[in-house]
Amino acid sequence: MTAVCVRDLGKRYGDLVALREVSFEVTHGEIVGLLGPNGAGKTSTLECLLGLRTPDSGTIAIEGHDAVAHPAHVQGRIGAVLQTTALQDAITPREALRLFASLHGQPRTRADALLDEFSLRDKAREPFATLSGGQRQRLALALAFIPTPRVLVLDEPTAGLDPAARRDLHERIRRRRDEGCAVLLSTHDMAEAQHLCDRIVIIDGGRIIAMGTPDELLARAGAPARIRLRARPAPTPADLAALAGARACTAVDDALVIHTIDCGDTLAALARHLAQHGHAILEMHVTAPSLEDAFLHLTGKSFGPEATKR
Amino acid sequence: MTTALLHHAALALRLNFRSRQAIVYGYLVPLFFLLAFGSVFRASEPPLLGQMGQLLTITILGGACFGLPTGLVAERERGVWRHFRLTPVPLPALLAGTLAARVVIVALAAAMQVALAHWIYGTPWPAHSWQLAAAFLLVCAAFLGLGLVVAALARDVPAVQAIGQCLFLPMIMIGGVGVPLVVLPEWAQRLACFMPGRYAVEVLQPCFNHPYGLRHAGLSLLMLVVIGAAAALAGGRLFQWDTGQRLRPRDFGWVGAAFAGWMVAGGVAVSAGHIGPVTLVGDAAFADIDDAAVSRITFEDLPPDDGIYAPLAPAHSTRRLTPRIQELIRHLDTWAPARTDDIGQNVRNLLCVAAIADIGQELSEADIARAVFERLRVQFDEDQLRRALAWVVLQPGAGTVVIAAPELGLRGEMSPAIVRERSTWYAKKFLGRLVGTIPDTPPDPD
Repeated sequence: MTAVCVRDLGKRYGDLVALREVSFEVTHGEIVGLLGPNGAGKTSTLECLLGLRTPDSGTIAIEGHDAVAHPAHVQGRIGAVLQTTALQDAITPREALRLFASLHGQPRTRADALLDEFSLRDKAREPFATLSGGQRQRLALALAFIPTPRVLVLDEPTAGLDPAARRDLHERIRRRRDEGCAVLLSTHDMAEAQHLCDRIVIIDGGRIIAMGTPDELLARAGAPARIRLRARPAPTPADLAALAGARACTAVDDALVIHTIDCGDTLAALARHLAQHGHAILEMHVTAPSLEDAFLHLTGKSFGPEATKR
Repeated sequence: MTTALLHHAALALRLNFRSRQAIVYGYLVPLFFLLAFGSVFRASEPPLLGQMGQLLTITILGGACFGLPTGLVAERERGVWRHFRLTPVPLPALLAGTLAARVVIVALAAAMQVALAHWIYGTPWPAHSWQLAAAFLLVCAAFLGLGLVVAALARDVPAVQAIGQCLFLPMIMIGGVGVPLVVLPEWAQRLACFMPGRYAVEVLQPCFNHPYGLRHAGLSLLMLVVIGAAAALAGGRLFQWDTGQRLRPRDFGWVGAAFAGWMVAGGVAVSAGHIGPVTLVGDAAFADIDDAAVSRITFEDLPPDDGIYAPLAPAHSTRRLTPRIQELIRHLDTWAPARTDDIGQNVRNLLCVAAIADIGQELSEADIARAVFERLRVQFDEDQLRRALAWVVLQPGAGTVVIAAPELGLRGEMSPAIVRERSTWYAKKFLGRLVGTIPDTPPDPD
């Protein structure tokens, strides 16, 4: 059975169309990433799915249950980490877990087990205000797991975390996936989406732009690799743009960046060109095409400063 | 679900006591009001007893206007209620748990005020504890609904302060809560009819010092029910669990409905002439004294008739009276303070004559007391007198007292507190004789 089935989802906020005809599915045992810049419609999609917003059109089914008509039927099946959720400053992880365990009709032992599972035992009696970002996100994830969900919805779960905490959280999410949980997460972190998600749904302006595995998306977009070169004397961009496989060459600071669709041919041609003209290589980097490049190709615009600043 | 809600309410209480801000607003501010009232009213007799309704109303009002909405809005801003929304427990049930926790928080503050008033100023304990508890819950219900409306109107925590003050200050200043109605001008008393604060005072205060508690507070109770029901309905409808939610134009109809309760209450009060301060004592209280109330009065603790305090001479009938006593008896026949429209107050004033003579250690103080007793028996029928004397005993702080009577030849100006104390003793001595519990001293042989 499909874990999450979203069909033709539409949502407006006054004159603003937040979602239009959004459709996708998530099956058990896979991680699907909703990828898009800020304001793309990721959070609106997830909030409709969680029953926090009522869609204007379309259907949402969680394990076959209509989540729009009967949100109460699906509440026990979904665990959620919300983007803007914090807890009271003075509450401790143990109190928070026990409270939400009781609200979900789970025994206190469930809360205590999650303290251990999410490595929060040492911080069990510490106020929420004193927890680090990583500890807070682990607590949020532990809270999401209280009802033993088969569907996990995570809205930008690693936002603001340091790399170590992010890796730790990724590992925990993969473990849940491997246990058969369906995971739907939103992110505007291209690298996170590329490395963590089994499938990616690219969303922009409330529409789905593309959908598939990371490799499929890159192949479909035909995004170029980049060769960044610093040489003395510096070759002209026009010379390098004419190399085999090269699409363009631009000067960036004191370097030249070659955009190529055939990295091997271009590198060979570049080596010959440099040797023939007596250019000494000072520095050279090759960057494989990324989802950001794919996004640029698919939408015709860059991902935006919010997405790229990390 | 009940267990979950109890868990939620208990945790809300625990978190409240961990918050420095909540402690300041919830307990230090009520303590400040207690000390402020104490510094002004400690000389009243009994100290502060007549202001306890106001004090408790301020505490509940503070919890409703500031404590409840601040907590709700802060949790809403943090996304706590979004998280609650994802649980199987309905939000109204969780909201009810939050309100229950707030009632406990406010009740603890009120209990603290009552206890500290007793220990610091000697304020008597409430005369009707169970009625006080019921009245307290009703006032909380009425005011906490307003707190929900404030939370709905406020976009953030600072806005709670601004909106809360718009409700709190008018009720404190001209609503009969902080400044007593009796000292307010007529226009302010009329305006106060449209604010719930005065009705809260009118149901809480009699539980402290009225012999029949809430029996005469029916109209005020009704007003609070109307105001509370309107506010609770509106507050429930307007409740917002997410910062993204905004009041729509039609929602302001519910805000209007909340305050329509005030208008209805004010309109009823004005049309019923319920404008000035309610007289909690006087004819009504005196008239309602029944046999059951009289039978509860005990007489064991009275000083002896021939002692230093509250002496009472034997009956005059067979003795020769001094010219001074004879003159005093003549004056009492027409003494104005004993001829008002208020029978209970007339009796109290006459008892004050005996008390003044006693305190002033008049040479014929015992005979003056006997003259007062005779005057009472002549002027009032036995049933009236029995109930009026019982009223003085049961309600020592009620009404007014005469503290000087130079027109009767009595010297000095006495302390109101001591006049009330001695008046009560004499009331008991006279009442005991009327009901036959105390045998009257046989007349001295000539």
